[in-house]
Amino acid sequence: MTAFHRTAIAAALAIASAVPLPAAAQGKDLKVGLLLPFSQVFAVYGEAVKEGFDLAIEEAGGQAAGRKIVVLKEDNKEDPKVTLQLVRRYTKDDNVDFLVGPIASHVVAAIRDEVTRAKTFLLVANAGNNEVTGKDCSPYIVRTSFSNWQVNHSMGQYAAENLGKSALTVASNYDSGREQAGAFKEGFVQKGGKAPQEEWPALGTADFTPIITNIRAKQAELDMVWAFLAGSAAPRFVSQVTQAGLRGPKLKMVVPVYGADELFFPAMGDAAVGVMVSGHYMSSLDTPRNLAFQARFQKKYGKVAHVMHVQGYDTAKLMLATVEALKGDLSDKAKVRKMLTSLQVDSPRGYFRIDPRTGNVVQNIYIGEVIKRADGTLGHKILKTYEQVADKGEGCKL
Amino acid sequence: MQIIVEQVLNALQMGVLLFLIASGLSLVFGLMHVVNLAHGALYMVGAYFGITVARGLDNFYLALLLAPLLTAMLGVVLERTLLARTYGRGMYPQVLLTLGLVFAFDELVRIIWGAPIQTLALPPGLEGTVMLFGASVPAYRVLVVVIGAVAIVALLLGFGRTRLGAMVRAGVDDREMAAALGIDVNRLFSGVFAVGSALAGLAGVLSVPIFNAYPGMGSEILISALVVVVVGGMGSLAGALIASLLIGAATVVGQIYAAEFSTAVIYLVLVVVLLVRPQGLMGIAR
Repeated sequence: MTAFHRTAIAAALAIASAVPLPAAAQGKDLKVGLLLPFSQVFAVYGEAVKEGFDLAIEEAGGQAAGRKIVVLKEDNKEDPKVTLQLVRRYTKDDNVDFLVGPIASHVVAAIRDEVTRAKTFLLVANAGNNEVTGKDCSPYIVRTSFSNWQVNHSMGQYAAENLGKSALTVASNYDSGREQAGAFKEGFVQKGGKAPQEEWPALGTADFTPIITNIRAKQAELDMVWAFLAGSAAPRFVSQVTQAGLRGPKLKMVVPVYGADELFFPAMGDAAVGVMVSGHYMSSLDTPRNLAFQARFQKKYGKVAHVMHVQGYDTAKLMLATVEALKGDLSDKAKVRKMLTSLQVDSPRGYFRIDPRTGNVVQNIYIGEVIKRADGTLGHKILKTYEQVADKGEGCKL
Repeated sequence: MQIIVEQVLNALQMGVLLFLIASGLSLVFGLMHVVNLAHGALYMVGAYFGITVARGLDNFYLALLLAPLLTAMLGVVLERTLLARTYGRGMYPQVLLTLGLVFAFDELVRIIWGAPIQTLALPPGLEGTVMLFGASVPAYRVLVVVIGAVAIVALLLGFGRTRLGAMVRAGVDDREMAAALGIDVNRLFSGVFAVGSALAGLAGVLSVPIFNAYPGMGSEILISALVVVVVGGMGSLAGALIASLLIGAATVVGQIYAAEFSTAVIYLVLVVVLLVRPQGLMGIAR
């Protein structure tokens, strides 16, 4: 054995002994594994959910029922394969108590089976695909954010009753776009609207003007354009419609709230004014609960909290309340599920609870309009509240 | 009529932006045999320079002028300090370096300007629509096409009619021979890189009001630009021009008739061209 070998072995031993001890030896820390993106295009969403989540943990003094909270943060790159590996590592090596995330629907679909097999609770903090609390629902998955149906169905109803009977929908051509446009159409037709005309631009479309030109040709017969476009395309579409001179008192622009809120206001500028939105949270909700939350959030981060921050915050709140109610004992999975789905959470968005039948959140859906306030900032004026809307949970057999 | 004029303008506008990006990429490849994957990053940085200038000086037109200049300066610095070290070492060091730069710039932009998507408000007069051939079209689109056309003409004249242009063309055709004839190929490299960077920067700032600015925007446009370069023929400016307009038109036609598949249409064009003319429309078979 050479000196080099001896040094190498010594180094290896030193490194090995620095590796954390197995979970059993770590006492009773409450471990949370984040499945969020912190790089590339999706980073804004991952950061937002984490900021809200961190605030709630901080408010709780970093503990629940006396158990210290340890948050494991790893970039899931919002990639289904990477996220699946992360789930395996968190559940097998780290023995986490809860998983939190992901952002995109196809990612939650990819980890649904693994989470269920590992019998570890996944708190979905954004991804809105209907199936995960519908036909693919799981006893180990609850969603604190929204379902695609939930956010848009109420808007369909509101639009048919208040904005006119003739609509055109524009949605990115993938599952989430299809689900959201479908939900709008369902609500719209239920309340007497004509079946909307439809446009399905491909994901990755940079310039929507050719489609907008088509819309212009139909302008006279339309009362509104409802749109959901994935990611950076959402504000771009609204700007392009505005530049084409299509907006006006007659033709309303209608989007889900995450298409026109504080996250995208810098990207939209004044083009956002007058856009109609539907969603489960708007920063201008005038309740003491929300004002107090916004004050604390703005103190910590120096910016206005939007819906993604609230989703992160509420996910932590539900988790903390569950652990407190069970006095820190999470050994009986059935009890944990029962607690997760029976607590009512007093949230900045209003009270919400988790539907025991589907695992999806039951919450208010607000209809609002983007306005420019006296101080020049953009915000939402709330026009109507649909109380405690529950997703249908189609096909869920729990 | 309205629809036809509008869609033609849409196609031209798309084609012009693509050309501004692809021309630099094509020239740099033709002259230096460098596959500059960081070209999209220069486009992105140009967009953010434009945002800073336009907001700081409260003047969008100055941003159109200064952002390309700043991008050109950055391009030259990159070329002299980093890319120059890879010349003559084959393709892999260049690909590794320029791909690394893509990630580095995405992250730098995130640190300096932040991750949220940003836009620039158009100056008064450009935000509305104007009448053109009896159709009302977005004013800003017309400006983009006009600026792009001026840049294209200047570039083609400079390239085809000046002594400097002749030197560049000589360099593209046969670098060793050009060097042997006494042309300072290294300075030529820097010059061409600067022009390519400036055009990318111009495309970047022009695109902010239409496409918005966000980290990673460069990688999205780079793919279309690479398609243009391959379809047009590596190193050919005229080829890049024809290909840009072709891809621009294909994108618009695709969106009108098959929006669901529109992003695939440009690849269809690519496949057909590669089957019929593997060297590209104006490329020289080597």
